[in-house]
Amino acid sequence: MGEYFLEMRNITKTFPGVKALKGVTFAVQKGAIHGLVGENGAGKSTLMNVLGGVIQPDSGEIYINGQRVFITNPHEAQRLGIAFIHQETSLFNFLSIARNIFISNLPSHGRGRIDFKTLYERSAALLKRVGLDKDPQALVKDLTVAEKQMVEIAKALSFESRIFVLDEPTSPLTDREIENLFRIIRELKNQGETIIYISHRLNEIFEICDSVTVMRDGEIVDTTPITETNKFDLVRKMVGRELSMMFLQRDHRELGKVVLEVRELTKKPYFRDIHFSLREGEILGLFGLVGAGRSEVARTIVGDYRRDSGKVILDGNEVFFSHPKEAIARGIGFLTEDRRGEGLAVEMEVYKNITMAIFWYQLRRGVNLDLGREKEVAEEYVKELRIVTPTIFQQAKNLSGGNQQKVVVAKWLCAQPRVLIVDEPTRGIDVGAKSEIYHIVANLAQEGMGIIFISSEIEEILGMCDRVLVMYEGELIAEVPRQEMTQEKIMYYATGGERVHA
Amino acid sequence: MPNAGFPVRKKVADFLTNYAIYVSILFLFVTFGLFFPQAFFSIMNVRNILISASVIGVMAVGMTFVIVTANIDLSVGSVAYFAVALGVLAMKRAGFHPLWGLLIILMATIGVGAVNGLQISRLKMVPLIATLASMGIFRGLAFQFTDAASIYGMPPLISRLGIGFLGPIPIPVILLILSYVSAYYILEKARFGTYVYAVGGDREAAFKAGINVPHIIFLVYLLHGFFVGIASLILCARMDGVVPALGVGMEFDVITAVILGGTSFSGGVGNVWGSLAGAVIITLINTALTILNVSAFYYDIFKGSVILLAVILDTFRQRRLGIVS
Repeated sequence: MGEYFLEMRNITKTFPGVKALKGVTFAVQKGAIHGLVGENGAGKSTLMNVLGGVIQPDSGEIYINGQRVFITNPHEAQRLGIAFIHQETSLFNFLSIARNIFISNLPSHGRGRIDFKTLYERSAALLKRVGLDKDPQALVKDLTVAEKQMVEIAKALSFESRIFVLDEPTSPLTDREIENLFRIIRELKNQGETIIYISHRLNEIFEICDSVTVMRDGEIVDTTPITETNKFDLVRKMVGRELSMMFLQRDHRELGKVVLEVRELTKKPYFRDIHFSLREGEILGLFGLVGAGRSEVARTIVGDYRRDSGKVILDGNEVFFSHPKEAIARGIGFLTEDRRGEGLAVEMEVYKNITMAIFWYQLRRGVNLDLGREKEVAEEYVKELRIVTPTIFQQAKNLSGGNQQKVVVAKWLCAQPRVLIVDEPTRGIDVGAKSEIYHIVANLAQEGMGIIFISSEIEEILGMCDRVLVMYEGELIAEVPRQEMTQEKIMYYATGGERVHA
Repeated sequence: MPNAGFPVRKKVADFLTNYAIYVSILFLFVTFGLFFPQAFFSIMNVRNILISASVIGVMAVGMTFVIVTANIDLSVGSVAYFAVALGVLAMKRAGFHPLWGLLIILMATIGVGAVNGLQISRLKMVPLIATLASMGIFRGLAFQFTDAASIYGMPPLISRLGIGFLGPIPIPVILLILSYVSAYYILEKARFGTYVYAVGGDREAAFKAGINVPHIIFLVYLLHGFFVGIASLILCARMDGVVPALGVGMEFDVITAVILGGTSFSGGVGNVWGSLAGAVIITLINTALTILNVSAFYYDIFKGSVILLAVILDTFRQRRLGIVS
């Protein structure tokens, strides 16, 4: 036991409807760089939030250096020597580097007067240790992202931190900056500090870590020394679950002509040079890990984000949407991932939600709107999509997640789109409803609609799509046809494939 | 080096962002001097400007702290009226010693600061609404106590604060300078000041750094109350008592001064010297409008436009500083 510096034992945490951590036991050796990998939603962040005192576990124990500790808030974690270096730094832009480093522990003469001499001397020493050549009096706002990270590490050192948690630290960095970061991480290790390194970039894990833990579905799958594993092995452990049979058994579908084409679409900093086409009746998957830029691509196509460059071609004509409603008018529907926030007016009745995207001329009767027709339309969709609601006058918020999602689908169907983009359509809904959503989407494709299916669940992609585009850090890294799709292959690309960074 | 491509353009833009306020003071001075030379030399000399700026200026000190923490206080004008009314009544009706009158004025404003601070820091009320309520309540209470009457005739101890001199320097100006120097010291040299900037810059990060955010906000309102008290004393002395319209619309002048001075509504940015410059600008404008004998309607339109200008400047500045994109 004594050899582990940090031990988290039997940690469980349940969020409404989800068991995020199912009795996780996680241990890290002193002076090691320990990798932590897993798919989106595997429970890495939850586990680290428990360690950081941001959330409290339902049960479980944490030991540091063999001593039981209770981390009740972030400040307590800091006191115990646990430091977090996130992508988004928690620095104050308009304070100096020195004041940022010592914000929690400003050296002072009595009565709260800051001792500037000590402050600047100690800051300079820490900056030297992390290799940042800057004046401690400079404002943080003028630093680059990489430099801010160095300040964060200097700050962590000022607390005499013993455990450094680095959460995707390299994604905003250039290759040279990554090299520098790795140099500092290795130095920390040589000084006997313990490092937990979280990354989607498996190549980095192999470059820098001594051992690695794989999480999946709120559990630890495996912990091994880095020398005893390889990339394919890790990927297999990250995804390794059986495909369930909830998808339609489809034969090879007849695809129609190209309906939507995207050329060299770029929106910095999210993605660049995205190139693909979608045919009638096709379900095109778009897969990627968090931050890969999937949703941003969709939002840029429909005009929610303004593109930097590139073309969107609908039915052979170039189109430019400055607002999603223009996209709807031209036949592109977009089901966002934020159902409650953007897809649904939760306080409004089901029928009003369904007919929201309908065009007024579809209801026109002479100069009046045929409001009876509005309700008929709603009734039709409730029946067709089997939306479970007592009446169409029920408020949307009273429906289950799956039925809410079906209402959103019905809303877009009212606008009679030719292309439907669905972004994480089954997030947070139960298995039965998921299956129904899959059937609805598959049927729409059968009727000739082109579907872009965005998901971070590989299972769905495999079950639904004719073709999948894999994104990695804003780039289209691979296109995989249905015959060649395997979980391992897709995850391999999504974690960077052959690409080596540092 | 970032921005190496446009060193000159960037320098000019930086200079304008940082020093626009001082440039505008110069501009206003020169303009007024050219157009109204007589009035300028009699009324607009530096000493008189500073005396006129003292009330808004001292209030702007506390308001700077409040706005740097990303909060606001709309009640300053009403609170000044309320405090002065209490102090004047205590001295004129109840026969208290002037020293008591002085203390009562200070205690009243600090007390209201505490009430506002508690509502905002502990009860998590929206500062705009909480202080809007205070604005109504305390003016109403003051009307009630004074029957909305004017009461004049202050004892020498009080009037000296408004019209007295210490050597060649008028006492209001001394109070003004003392307020600014002490505020500068607190913000820049004391731990508390760093916490004030941290709370305004990123409340979440400040909490994670172990700063007691509600406590800092409470203390800021308390300190702000103290400065409003000093300003109320000067006001009471210069008015020689209390009038019902006391402090009406003053919150606009004070907030405009602070924003003109480079403190941002988004919090975390600002400095007191800018607020002093802002207060001087507002005073110059007020004086000019008075000299020109502008109708009250135009006066309001003009003042409204200045606020609008200040907010536009703030938005522009926020974009330049990268607070918003």
